[in-house]
Amino acid sequence: MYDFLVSNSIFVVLIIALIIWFGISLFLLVIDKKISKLEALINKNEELKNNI
Amino acid sequence: MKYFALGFSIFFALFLGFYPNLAKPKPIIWKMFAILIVSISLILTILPPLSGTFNDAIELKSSPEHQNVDVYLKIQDNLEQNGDFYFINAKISNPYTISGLEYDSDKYNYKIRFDKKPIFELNKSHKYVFNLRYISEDNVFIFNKLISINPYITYPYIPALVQRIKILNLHVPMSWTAFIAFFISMFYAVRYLRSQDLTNDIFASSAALLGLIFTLLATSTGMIWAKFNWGAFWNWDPRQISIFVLLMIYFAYFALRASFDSKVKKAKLSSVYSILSFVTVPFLVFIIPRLYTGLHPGAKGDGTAGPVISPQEGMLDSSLAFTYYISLAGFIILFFWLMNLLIRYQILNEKLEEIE
Repeated sequence: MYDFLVSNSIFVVLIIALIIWFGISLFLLVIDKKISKLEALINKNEELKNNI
Repeated sequence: MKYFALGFSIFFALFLGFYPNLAKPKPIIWKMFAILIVSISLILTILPPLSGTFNDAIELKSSPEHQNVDVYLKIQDNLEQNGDFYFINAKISNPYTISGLEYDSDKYNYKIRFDKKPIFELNKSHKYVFNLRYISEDNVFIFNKLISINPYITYPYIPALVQRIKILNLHVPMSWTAFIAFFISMFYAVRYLRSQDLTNDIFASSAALLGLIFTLLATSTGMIWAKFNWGAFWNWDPRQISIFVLLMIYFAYFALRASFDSKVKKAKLSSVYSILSFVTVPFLVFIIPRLYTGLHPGAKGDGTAGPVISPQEGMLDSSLAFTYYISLAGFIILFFWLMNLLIRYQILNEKLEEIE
């Protein structure tokens, strides 16, 4: 694996690009989960629904 | 010119980032533009071929890993058959000079050998990137494979980096974006202390969180690169030590925030801490790694420009600089989008807590 990556160094660049996109998608997943929780809270409570 | 382009890309991205407001939803055009610029920067990072010279191939003829070199060339005459092989003469396509020394000249013709008749057309008006290997006994370059015909943009060939030179467009913008994020965090911390408006504290903490994420991304991408260029993931290089200290400082910022129940107290103390910790950022990112000798580009005694743009001629290749600015602007715009989501979530959360 290491020797393959040394001789085909474009795959190192690919791994690095993927790390960045996985990091950003992880952040998006966390935000998505938090917003879902807020939505559930609003939907559960009719009073809140009318206030917003 | 390079400085102007760099400044323009940063200020353009900052302008777009603050438009229309940090806390308001971004217009659909804005989002489409952000996706477009990030996609363009990714394509321009991965796809362009490397442009080595015939001299590179001659120097690397006995290297076990890199004896096949991508050479950017133009054809000089027609294909001629000689026995089993086909031969053609070619010249280097982009002769360039580094500090007055002619690196490779277009005065010389080099002979390329094809083991079988090439299936593509060889045209004198086109430029080609061939993967070649030099054989010193016959003084001939053996054609390995075709990389590109008439490439719009090529990156310089550096034997120690090869394709890994493209990390410049991924790893360095991460670091610069983190620097901008920490600056925005400091700016809104000052504004919070002046106005005592808790929205400014939300801005400051969101920017610090994203700065931390981008610093972590810069560190992990740098570690992968270090494995292949320095031999180990972590080498305690001055740059790595300074980024480690920076990470610790901003982890402590969130530890501080988590330790208060009162919102006002939390906001006040963390704003003061954010201002104090930003004071260390320029030293840890730009100054200390340049004061000591180290492995990272830009260290003391290192001839290369390192992660910043050098005024010296030939230090950062102009095509690499061009794509670097695009990708820097792209990642800064992406940072503002992510921060916008985080801010909107937190403001909504605050509102709900008030109603409850």
